[in-house]
Amino acid sequence: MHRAGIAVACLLLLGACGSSFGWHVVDPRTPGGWSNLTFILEGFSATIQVAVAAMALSMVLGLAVALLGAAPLRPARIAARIWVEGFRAVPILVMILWAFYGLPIVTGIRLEVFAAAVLAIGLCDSAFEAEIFRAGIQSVEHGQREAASALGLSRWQSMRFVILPQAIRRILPALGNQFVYVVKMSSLASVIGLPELTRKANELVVTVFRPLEIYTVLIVCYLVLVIAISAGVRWLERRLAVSGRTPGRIEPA
Amino acid sequence: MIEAMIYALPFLGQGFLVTLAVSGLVVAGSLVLGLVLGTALAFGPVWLGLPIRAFADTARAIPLIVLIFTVYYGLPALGVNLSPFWAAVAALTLFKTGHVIEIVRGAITSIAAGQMEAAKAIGLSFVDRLRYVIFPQAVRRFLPPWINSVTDSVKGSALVSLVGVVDLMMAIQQVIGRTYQPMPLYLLGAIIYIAVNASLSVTSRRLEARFARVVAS
Repeated sequence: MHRAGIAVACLLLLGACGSSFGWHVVDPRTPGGWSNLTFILEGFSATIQVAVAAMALSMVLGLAVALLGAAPLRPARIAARIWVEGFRAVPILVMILWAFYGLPIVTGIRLEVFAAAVLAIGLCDSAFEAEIFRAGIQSVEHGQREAASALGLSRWQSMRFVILPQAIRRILPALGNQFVYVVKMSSLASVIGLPELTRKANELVVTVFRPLEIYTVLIVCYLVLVIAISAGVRWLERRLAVSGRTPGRIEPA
Repeated sequence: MIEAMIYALPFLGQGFLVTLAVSGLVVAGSLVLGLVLGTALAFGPVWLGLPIRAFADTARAIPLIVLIFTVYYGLPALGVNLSPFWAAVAALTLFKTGHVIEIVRGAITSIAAGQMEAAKAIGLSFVDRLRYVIFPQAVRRFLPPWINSVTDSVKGSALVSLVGVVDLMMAIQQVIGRTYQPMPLYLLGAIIYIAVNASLSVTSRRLEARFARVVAS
């Protein structure tokens, strides 16, 4: 998404010509603008924390569900299917509200805002991670599995030492995409009051009444974040690439 | 629990209709825009492709909720005043168009270049080449990811409740406000969303299987 840089430039250009813009509210040269700007930027840490924690949770869950889906037992495969179809169908906003407001009533467990957001986003995203891992595992040639069992590796050992290392290299681009998706979804945690970027921007909007300028800054923040992540993923791909082989691209099903 | 569900059903029904209306408009609008822009991106000159690419990348990089807030709260400063419903539909359509552009471009570029050359060689015009040669083949690769993105639209439409449109999500919360029974209602809401999206997902699987057969034969 390196071309998104062009879009940032377009947005700023638009801002420069728009006569009804009041950029002074986010102008770093004035004390007021500087404090407004830093107020929004403080949201970066919460956004990144939620996204990383949710991604970690969903990758663990997703891998477990994918392994369950590849298991020889039929009930295990059905359970994995239900997990994927179920969590894939529920809107994340519904899940976040449910984790924060519904869970205490049903189970008596009262989660902090951060934990509720991580749980909700992690659960929803685990369905997509499971599909990505499944695609990766299936993409490893059958001969690899046969060779592993010919060497006397157990089913689990061949998964752990032969299939997964190859699968993960192939699904890295898809995992990167998914992380971008999770970062964007973390904006929904603003609804239950987590002080991440979007929440900070909303709070600022109701105090300085300049929605267009503040949301434009917010958009630029997310663009910067997404571009940085894409660059990071590409760097990781290059590092993990086996010499002479380009990683195959696998899209989530 | 069952009583609360029965009491809630008519309200949720109305909210569900709004959810369907939003999703329908968004799916239709983004399909038309995405087809035109995606085709332009695949075949058009660079000066046309660059802004489309910039738009698609940006639309996909911005969180949906931010886009909705920007259109609803931000655009009035530029003189564009939209009602909550249309602001939400506009924001969702912009977002979805970014995805459809990519799907269309991917489907078109996956068709072997020889097809286009052969169509040129037998003297078909550009529109005819697209209509009779490229699109009938590209549609097989277009449909499965597109139906996934339709599922995403239905889920994304839950966000319109944030600007005050009474969709299924908002209807659920309103009834909870009256009955103080969140559990059965969230459950009911989840069931409705799952029913819609699971049926879409099954359709996508069927289509995928069907087109896989066609391509193989």
